[in-house]
Amino acid sequence: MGIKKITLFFSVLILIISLFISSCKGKAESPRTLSAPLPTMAKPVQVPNFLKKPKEAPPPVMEMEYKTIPKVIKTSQSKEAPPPIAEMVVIKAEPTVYEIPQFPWPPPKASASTNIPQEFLRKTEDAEITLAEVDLKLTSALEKCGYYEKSYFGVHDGFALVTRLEQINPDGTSIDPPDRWSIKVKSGNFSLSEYIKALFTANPGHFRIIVFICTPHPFSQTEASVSRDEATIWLASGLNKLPKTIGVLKYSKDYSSTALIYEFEKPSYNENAKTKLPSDLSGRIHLEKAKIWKALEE
Amino acid sequence: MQVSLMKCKKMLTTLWFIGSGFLFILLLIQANLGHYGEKANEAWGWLLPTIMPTLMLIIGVLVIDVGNKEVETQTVDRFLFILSFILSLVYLVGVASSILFQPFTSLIPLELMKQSNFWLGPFQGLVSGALGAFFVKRKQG
Repeated sequence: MGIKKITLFFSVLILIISLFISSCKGKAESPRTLSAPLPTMAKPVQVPNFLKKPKEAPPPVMEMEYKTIPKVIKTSQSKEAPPPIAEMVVIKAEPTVYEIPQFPWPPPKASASTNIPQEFLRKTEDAEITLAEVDLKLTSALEKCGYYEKSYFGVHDGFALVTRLEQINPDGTSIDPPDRWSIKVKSGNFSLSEYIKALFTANPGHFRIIVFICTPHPFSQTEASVSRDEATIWLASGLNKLPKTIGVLKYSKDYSSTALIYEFEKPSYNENAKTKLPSDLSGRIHLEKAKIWKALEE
Repeated sequence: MQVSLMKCKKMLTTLWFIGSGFLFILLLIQANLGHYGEKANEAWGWLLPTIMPTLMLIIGVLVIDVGNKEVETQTVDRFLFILSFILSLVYLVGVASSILFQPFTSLIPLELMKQSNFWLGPFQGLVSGALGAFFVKRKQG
């Protein structure tokens, strides 16, 4: 009797345990189907339709699919028809292609400025030229003076051409490369006099960015000054060439080309560069010392 | 081997006052010529704690010794004196190097000074210990 009771007890126990385990498995698998409404789960079935045609869709679209799918699920719950994923991709992919970064307008307060004479840019007084030709004239003059890196921004009916930050002497002449393009203040060649100078003096550094602005509209400058770091970002954030949409515009007599000089001074090793407002030199002297004036004149 | 305590004290005092004076004048010229710009106070804040504690110890002992005729007859272990002298010399050269090497490094001067604190601090402890022991371990002549 005892053995029978024990056997019965264990068989019932095993039955209970097996029922418990099976019910646990069921709970683990079912929560989505129980908690999520069926329509919501049904709509994402569209996803495989896109995934079935990966060859037709460009790689970025595939990346976008994963980002937009959760949005589709959410909008379906709000009973609004979700926009087709393909449309969303197109909308998101459309900008950036022809987007022209705009130069801060009105421009930040410059250390100095000067207008480029019209005769420098036109061969004859009545010659009709485009902004692309003006750009060509400016860039060739800049390249003669060693300014190979530049970037373009859009301004009202024109463009802004920004040169790379360069290190200059206090008289406005450019320092010889490689120190010219370094943000570290040049230390000079080693000699006893240079050593003593570096040991005792502040060895201030002077930096310059030139911005050419071609626009038919008169403009002033804002009171806000730009820091050296902010101005340095201009080179990277602008376009590498003048967009055609701007280049085809005619450079009428209403247009003027203005050079804005942003000069920065690093007073000592331990201090950050500060915008020099105003510069000790005029805008024209800056261009003359940089040899740009002469190159434009030729 | 024993050496005259008074003679040792004079040599150590001379070393410390010449070294500290040199460093003080060097920093004074740099600060006045604008080498540190607006942060000259930080440069002084670095130099003074590196030399002043030891100078105060030396001056304190000299003041105590005034009128003490026993000091003139006292002697001290030669090894202890040489150890204190060399440690003091190396320490002062180390402090000076943090200023004199500024033109050769790519670091900005105040950064170099702050970095030197990592090794100057423990070194200063060694020098202070040696100088303290030098004055305490003296023996009657």
